[in-house]
Amino acid sequence: MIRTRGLKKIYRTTSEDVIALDGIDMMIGDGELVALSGPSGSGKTTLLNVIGTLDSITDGDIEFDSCSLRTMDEKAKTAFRRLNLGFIFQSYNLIPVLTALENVELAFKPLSRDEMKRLDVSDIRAASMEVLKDVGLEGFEHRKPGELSGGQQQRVSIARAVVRRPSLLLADEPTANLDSTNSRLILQLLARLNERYGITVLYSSHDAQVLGSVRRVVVLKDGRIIEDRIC
Amino acid sequence: MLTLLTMSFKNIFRYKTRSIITILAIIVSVCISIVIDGLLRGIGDQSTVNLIAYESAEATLFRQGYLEKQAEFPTDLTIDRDELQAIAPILAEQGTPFSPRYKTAVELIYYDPENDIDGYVNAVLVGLDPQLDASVFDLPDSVDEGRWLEMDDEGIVVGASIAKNLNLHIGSFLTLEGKGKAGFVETFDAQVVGIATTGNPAVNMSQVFMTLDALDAYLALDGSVTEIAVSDGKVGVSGLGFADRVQKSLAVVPRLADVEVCDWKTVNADLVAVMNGDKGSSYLILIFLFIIAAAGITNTMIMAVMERRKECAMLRAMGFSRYEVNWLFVLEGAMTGCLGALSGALIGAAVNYPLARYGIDLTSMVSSDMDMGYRVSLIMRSGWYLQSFVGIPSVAVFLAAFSSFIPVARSGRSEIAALMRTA
Repeated sequence: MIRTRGLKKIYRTTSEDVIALDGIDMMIGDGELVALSGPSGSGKTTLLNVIGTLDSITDGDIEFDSCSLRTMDEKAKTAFRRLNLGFIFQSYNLIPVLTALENVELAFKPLSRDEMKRLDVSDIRAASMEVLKDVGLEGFEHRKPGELSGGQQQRVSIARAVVRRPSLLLADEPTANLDSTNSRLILQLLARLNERYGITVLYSSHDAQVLGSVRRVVVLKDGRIIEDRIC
Repeated sequence: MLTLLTMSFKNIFRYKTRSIITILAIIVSVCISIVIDGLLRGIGDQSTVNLIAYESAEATLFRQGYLEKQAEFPTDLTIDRDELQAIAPILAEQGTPFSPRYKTAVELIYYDPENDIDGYVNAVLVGLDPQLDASVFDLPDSVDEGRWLEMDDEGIVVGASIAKNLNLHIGSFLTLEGKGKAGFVETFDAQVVGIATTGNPAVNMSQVFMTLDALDAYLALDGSVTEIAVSDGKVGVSGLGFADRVQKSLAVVPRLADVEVCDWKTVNADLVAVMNGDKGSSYLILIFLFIIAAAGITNTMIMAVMERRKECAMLRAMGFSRYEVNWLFVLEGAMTGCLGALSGALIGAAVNYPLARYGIDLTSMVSSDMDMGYRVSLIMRSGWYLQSFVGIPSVAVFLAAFSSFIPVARSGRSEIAALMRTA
């Protein structure tokens, strides 16, 4: 379970302070699929980054299974990301010199032997092949990102994000670079993975089609939650 | 680590043109460095061998004070007959080859009948015992016209460049004018019986040899010598400890307290300083080359890091530590350095081969009389030195890795989100 309390994020520049998050209080239960919505600059990406420990907290706190993220040092945050989180980015961020399969296997590389045991991973190759099959890329394992379409690349990045079975999957505008057909496929895939593996999914979007496919939508504006609706 | 290595290696070929340019810069730097280093070491070693084989032996015994004034050939700082007779059995007992020599400045007054030219040149006349000298120096083998001196010879052997310049042949006569031990000037004629072409241009250009007995008769040396050259049969490094050992062996005779034993480096301190100075300035050029290559690598890596900020951010988001991400780039730099260094070493070896085997022949460019300081002939040969082939590529790899570390370390301090935003 994730709980944010009075979460604030201020970007300090030489000329002004930009308040990106202004006192966010929110709770997300285990296995939930939640969409963050709002116009550009409303704080969706910042909220995902802060929850994902990719950015620091200015004020307030985030609890992940009762564990405060604010007090974590860099090493603890790195371990936290390894063991609990999966990320999907708008621009896929695949390694172009690796094949689809190698990109997925890369998710296991930072894990120590103990962490591998904790995550119950015995065969990296088999786990990666299985998840690639799950995202519909069987037969594309040995293609490099440059040989795949945008939708296929995003599916590889989803496979990479979920192959470690993270507790929380954070997706920042996962469909922004895709056409409507591919967007729909990706959303269906996320919903399926959420159901199948029980992964909590939190993603940001301002796409009406995306928002229409989820049960819970949190709407942000100027760094504040203005609506938290369950459809 | 294997994953990082694989990724780093694959990343080298991601931007082929840029990587090739960087690798080429390293290849050129390593190749030039190996060739220059090989030439410098080769010339230095050749110089040392020629110096010891034809000019100053591994060590030399002088009367104290003589070495400082050796350019003036002082006649009052010689080793006298009694001292020589005391020293000889000590050295003989040790089995140390030795050669008493008397060196003095002379004027060679010549007449060239073929061209009807006369005049004089300055030279160094060396009086020596032909048999003893042959056990210390390689002069007899260098006589390529005529013959080496015999025990009761009154003739002279001249350096090849002197013979060439004065148009001397076997049988030619020279008039020599030199200062005797008592300070008076003596003039005498001598016939050329041999012409020596040594590997040491200083000897070829300036030395004339005759027997010590003949010289003693002409200059009334009274059995004295200016020096005793000693050899332990090993060239170079061994000469240093060897001089100390000989000095200790002389200490048993109190009246020899005034005789000092100097190793070849001390005797030729000026030349060694010139050689080291030349080496220093050449190494500065090498350092310059490496700085250029390092700047190239840093520039390449800055571009690589800037272009791959999102990738770095994603790797850290996946749980790679910032150190592992830094390593990715450092390994990439090191492997780029490795490719450049290995190729540079191979090309350097290919370039070095003809330089070591045939050398660079400077005879068409410079006069054989030109003194470059080094005791080498005008064919300069390189050598094969493990230090060059291991040291220089290693420095290149280290510099490449270090040059990569600078840009990535700066980027590694940023928050992951900041890397994402600025990409």
